[in-house]
Amino acid sequence: MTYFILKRICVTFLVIAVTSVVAFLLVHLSGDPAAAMAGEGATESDIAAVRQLYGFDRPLIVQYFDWIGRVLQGEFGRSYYLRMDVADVLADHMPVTATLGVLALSFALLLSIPLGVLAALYPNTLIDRIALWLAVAGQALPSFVFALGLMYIFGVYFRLLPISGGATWAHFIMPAIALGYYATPAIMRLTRSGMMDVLQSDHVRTARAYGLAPWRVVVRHGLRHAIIPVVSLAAVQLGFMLGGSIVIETIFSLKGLGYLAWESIQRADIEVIQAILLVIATAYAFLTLLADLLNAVLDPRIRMS
Amino acid sequence: MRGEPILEVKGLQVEIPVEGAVLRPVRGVDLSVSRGETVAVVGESGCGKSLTALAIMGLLPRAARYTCERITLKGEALTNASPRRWRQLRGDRIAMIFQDPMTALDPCYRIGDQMREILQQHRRISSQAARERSLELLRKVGIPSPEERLSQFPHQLSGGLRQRVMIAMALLCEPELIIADEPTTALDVTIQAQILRLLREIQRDTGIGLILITHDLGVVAGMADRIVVMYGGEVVEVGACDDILSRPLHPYTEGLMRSIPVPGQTKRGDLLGFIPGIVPRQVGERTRCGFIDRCPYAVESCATGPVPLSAVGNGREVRCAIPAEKRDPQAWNRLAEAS
Repeated sequence: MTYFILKRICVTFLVIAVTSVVAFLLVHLSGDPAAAMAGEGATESDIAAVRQLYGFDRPLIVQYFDWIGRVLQGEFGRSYYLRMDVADVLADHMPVTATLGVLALSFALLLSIPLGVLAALYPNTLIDRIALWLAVAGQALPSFVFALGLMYIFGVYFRLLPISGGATWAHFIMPAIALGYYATPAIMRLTRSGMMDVLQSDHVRTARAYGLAPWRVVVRHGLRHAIIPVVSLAAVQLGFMLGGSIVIETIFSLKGLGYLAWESIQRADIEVIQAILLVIATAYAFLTLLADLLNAVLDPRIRMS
Repeated sequence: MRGEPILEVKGLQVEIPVEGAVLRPVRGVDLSVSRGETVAVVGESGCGKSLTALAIMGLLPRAARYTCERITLKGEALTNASPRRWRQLRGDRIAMIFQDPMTALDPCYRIGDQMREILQQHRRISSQAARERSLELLRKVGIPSPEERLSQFPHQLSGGLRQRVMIAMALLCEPELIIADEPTTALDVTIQAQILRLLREIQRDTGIGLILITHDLGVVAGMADRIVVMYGGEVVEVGACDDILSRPLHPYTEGLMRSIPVPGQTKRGDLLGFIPGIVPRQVGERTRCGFIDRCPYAVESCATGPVPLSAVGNGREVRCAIPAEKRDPQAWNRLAEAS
């Protein structure tokens, strides 16, 4: 088990190191950062001055190690546009995105796992059809349409929930539902197919043959097996929600990471973009690690192999 | 010499609707087991023997429907018993041992947890007492260092040990009846003999009824008191074990017997007997003898109507219209050559 964890942690750090290189190169090779920072109408000498001031004239490898060296010491640099430390900018935006992501995933899991289990227990019945319909609708409807629909019904028509900003918990309800609904179909279908398989398996037949209570058969001997791929998928989905919630954050005016990334790309705010890429990559890597560890807890064959 | 009946099943039928037809893999099976008796249900794949067992346990696949004229367990009529009542009986009064011990245990839970879960489902018992009981039974089924096994996962045990664990699990609540569905088929030959000996010992010690489902007549000899031979979803022959093995009356049983190599007589290179053909798909009502397509003795009258199971004395029953003395001894060889 210790060996398994150590191995997984090593892989995690390797992934982070590689993504840091990719993130750095993408930002630096996708255009001349000095020209973008100097702005429109800047002269050649202005650009050259910016290039020298920020050290963009040095070889890329030197710049990379300079940057990663500072990051490892907790120094993310300064946003030239916001005139703030990047660490402070991130600290402002991260809690919003983290709250949104966790709430959205919780909503997705709470909706999709019970539905998936019910659909597997009663295949080709009304409940299965309803679940399938929800999945198709979730997959087909763009998230902004769904978000606008929610806003109209609960914000404008019934006036139950605030539609903009992130001041209170209530502000997060609709964005979390809108974001989480998007993850629901995949999780539900995976839960359903996993449950269908496991309910046919020999050990579930044994559990039934020994008269175990139905919930024990379904949850302890069924869902525990079916949930293993769902854990991996949910980790990826959460990573996706952390990095890719720009649309939802924009619609609901939530000042999260996705929104910040979009703004920073507009402004060529390199230090911020790099920091966001690194944070999201790290979050992805650690979520995957967490999923692997959870699966090892769920299935002894994984942790003992 | 038969004791009080534990299980009596009458007219058990299983139907499985498929595309445009209804499969009838079990058609009107009667079965009874008494205290201390081992009944072997014998037949080839697809003859309905496993489905019979699963139907008795209420474990049929979702698509299958089953009907039964009468089923009683220790005098309690269960024909219309609720699913809840069945659940109380399963694992407690009737236990089942499955064919493949590699997959029959849940890989996610320790042996001790799985045994405790069954005990606590049926008894109000502390975890400590459940542990004691589990240890006692693991010892009884001959598992070395049982304390260690309790905290192990199924994948850490060999196939033979897992099947012993399954047997220990079956015994947890001191059932009246154990149904063993091909309990040795997935095991090495040497382990097979050990497991069979264990089952026989346990059965003698506890006096439980045992239904042994197998396709292997070699397993039956020395284990069973009575044999029920099934073919095409029907019982074709019933009788005491020794009687049937020494003098089979149904052509199908004859064919099965001919396919077993005999130590000392069968030599290397000898052709073993076999029954040409496969079990036909079981659809629709019987309008003729179910074995007619593969029977070496079949005559025209066999096709005129379904053949009833008739008593032939000495507790034996057989479903064949042609008396043994009218059968041509060379018929099997001719059939083998023709196919």
